Amino acid sequence: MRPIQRRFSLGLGIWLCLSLGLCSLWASPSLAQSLAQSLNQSSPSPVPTESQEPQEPESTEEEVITPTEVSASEAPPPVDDTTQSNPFNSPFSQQNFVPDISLILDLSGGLRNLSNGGFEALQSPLKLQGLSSGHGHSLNAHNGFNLNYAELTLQAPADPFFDVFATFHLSPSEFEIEEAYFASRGLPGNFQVKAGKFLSHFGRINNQHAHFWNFNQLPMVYADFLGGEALNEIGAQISWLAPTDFFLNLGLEVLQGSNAESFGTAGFSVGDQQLKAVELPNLAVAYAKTSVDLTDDLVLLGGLSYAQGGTRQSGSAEAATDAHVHQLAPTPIGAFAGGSRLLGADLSLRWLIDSYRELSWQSEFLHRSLDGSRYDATGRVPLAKEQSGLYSELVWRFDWQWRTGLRLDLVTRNDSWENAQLKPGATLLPRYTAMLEYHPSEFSRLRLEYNYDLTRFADGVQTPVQSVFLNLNLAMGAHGAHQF
Amino acid sequence: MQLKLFKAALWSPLLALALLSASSAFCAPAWAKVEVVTTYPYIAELVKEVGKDKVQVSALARGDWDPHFVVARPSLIAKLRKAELLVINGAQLEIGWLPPLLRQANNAKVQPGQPGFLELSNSVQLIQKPQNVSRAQGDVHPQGNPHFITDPHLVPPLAKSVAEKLCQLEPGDCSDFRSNQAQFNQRWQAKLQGWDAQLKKLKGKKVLEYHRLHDYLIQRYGLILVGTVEPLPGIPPSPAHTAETVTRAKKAGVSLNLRGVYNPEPPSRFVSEKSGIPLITLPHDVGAVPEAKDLFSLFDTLVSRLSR
Ligand SMILES: [Zn+2]
Repeated sequence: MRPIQRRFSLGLGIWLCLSLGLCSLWASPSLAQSLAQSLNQSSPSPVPTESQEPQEPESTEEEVITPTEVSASEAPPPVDDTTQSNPFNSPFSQQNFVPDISLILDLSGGLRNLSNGGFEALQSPLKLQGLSSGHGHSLNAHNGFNLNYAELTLQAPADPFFDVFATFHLSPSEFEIEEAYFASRGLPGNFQVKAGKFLSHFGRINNQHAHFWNFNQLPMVYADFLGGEALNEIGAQISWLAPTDFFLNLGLEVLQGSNAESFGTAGFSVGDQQLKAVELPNLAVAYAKTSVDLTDDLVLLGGLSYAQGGTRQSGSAEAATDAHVHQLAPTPIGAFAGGSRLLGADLSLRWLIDSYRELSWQSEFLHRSLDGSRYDATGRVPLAKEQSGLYSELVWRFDWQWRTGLRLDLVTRNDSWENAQLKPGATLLPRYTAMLEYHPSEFSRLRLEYNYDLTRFADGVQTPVQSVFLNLNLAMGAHGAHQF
Repeated sequence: MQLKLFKAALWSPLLALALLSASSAFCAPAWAKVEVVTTYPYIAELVKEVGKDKVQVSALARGDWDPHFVVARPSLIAKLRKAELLVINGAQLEIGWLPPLLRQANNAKVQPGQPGFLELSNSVQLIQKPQNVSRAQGDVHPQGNPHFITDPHLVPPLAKSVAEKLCQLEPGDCSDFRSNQAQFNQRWQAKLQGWDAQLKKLKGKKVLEYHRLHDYLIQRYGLILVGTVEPLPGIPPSPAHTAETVTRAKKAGVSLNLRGVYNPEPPSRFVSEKSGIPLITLPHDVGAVPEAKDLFSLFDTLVSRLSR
């Protein structure tokens, strides 16, 4: 029953996406009209339109402007707008048909109270396999100097119907397609379709690139539930702007769900038990975001997000039974099959004081419910987890070139049930971060950050981690406009 | 099992949304005004003058803040969503904030290249087009200086291009747009004579400015620009550079020190205090100062502050 139901719902979804796009293309008179117009304009013999006819009043206007003495010194003639009527000519493109290219470089230098090896072996109570390093990018990973990343971004409209974006994440030993997707340009009804590999719009910070974050590290709850790259998947998204006077954006995503921290798709075998791979696509995400201007200077943004998919973890069974040194210490989940649900709630307030000063407060809460079984050589044990955490950050831009901020990360719940028996984990573990930034220009940023982390464990014992890093972030090439 | 059911449930609200939006799209009343969104308040005034009661206009940016950096608040996306016409200044003045808003607006009508998109810089001969650009020269405007609204002589061609665009969108109301434009032009020409008479007196005077914000005005009325308080576009001055500006301004015999309302005041004031050159804060847009309520009072204010 289950697979059939599921296939049906997915089929219905895909059909709906396609038919919605196609039908609306077909049915929308305005789009058809504009298409016809663009065809006319690009044809060699344009049909004369009403606006091209000579107009009496204007010829007299020109005469009125010219005689004055001052305007004779430089009388700029109005340029005809032939360049503007070409639908393929975007005024934002940096050079004719070369895509907008930008490269963002992030370098750092600093120290931590642990050796590199000690830092990599740290455990995190929220992580399914315990180990806090691992999947995804990590910034300021080493004592001394780091080339954190070079992020190469290309973007341009492919044609009047598709915008194409690609971001390549380059690190000293890796070249990775971080994002490569298209977004529709012309769907009517305020819909947009996006597909490819992209950062999910789950939550507030998930779809932001690292250089846009207010602090160097991804918030702990994101890094622990979703890994250093957050929820970055191959799939499709449809989003809709509601016809309201305030901002209301609703979206659905169907994704492969290979995220190794909360989901995962590959099957595994333990002893003589075989666990099949999950059916793909494995992950569905739904979100709603809304924003209102409380006053002219005070903007509120809030969102609710939900993600649900199958989970396959093929961690080693020995590791799972071997780490009971400390009562509250992280326990690796081992080999696990089941499902995860993530719930996210975010709230941001920005007080825009003037062009260059602002106070902003941003918070997110994430909850994960995990349900399934742990597998080992002797059989399987029902296992469930209810975990949650939050971050809250306050950033004050007190001058054109200066910003400072504080962030609190907190583990708020960490309960596990094995065979229906509750095993509480450590909670109310904080991480504190403070930063001070100086921006020599719009395109460079120096950030000094201090981090005091009480959420980590080493060999089952809570281990405070302190670090100080100075990061330099440089942007070259196309102007990357800021999203809210 | 619940997990799987959820996926099926996800699609039903989508279906409802699709139906809802489809029905709303076909129910727009014929008498509705053209929804026009402009990037800056001065453009909104221009559209009001030409469109009068046939248009509903709102501006995205505030007139008293930096036009280069506008916070891309989501309420602006909501405004863009329902726009039938978007009129921008262009020449990349909006490059730092408009593109992501436009991408998120899910509105095909006002995308660049579509009939519902108008870039005013196309009706202006831009000055200071750099031969080659490098950010080593600061945050330069690669297509030329986009701050053409400081020259009152450039307003009539802008009004004309707005009228043509509105005619293209609403051919039925075209005669109204043209006569509104002609009337506006007449009133403008009358005021322009007075402004010209006042500003001609400044010919040959040497000026400083914070950013190259008033260059069209400077060029039009034969003023001589000696330098800018910011060393390079978008780079705030160091104390050393400010001190150097003071010496340079004194030596050159500068008589006016101009700044936009949003430019940081301390460096410009420092220069004025050390050199005795009067500091003049000029509105660059409608709403930049309380007196600049529309295009006419914007230039009235500008002229009166300059000839004080
Ligand atoms: Zn500028």
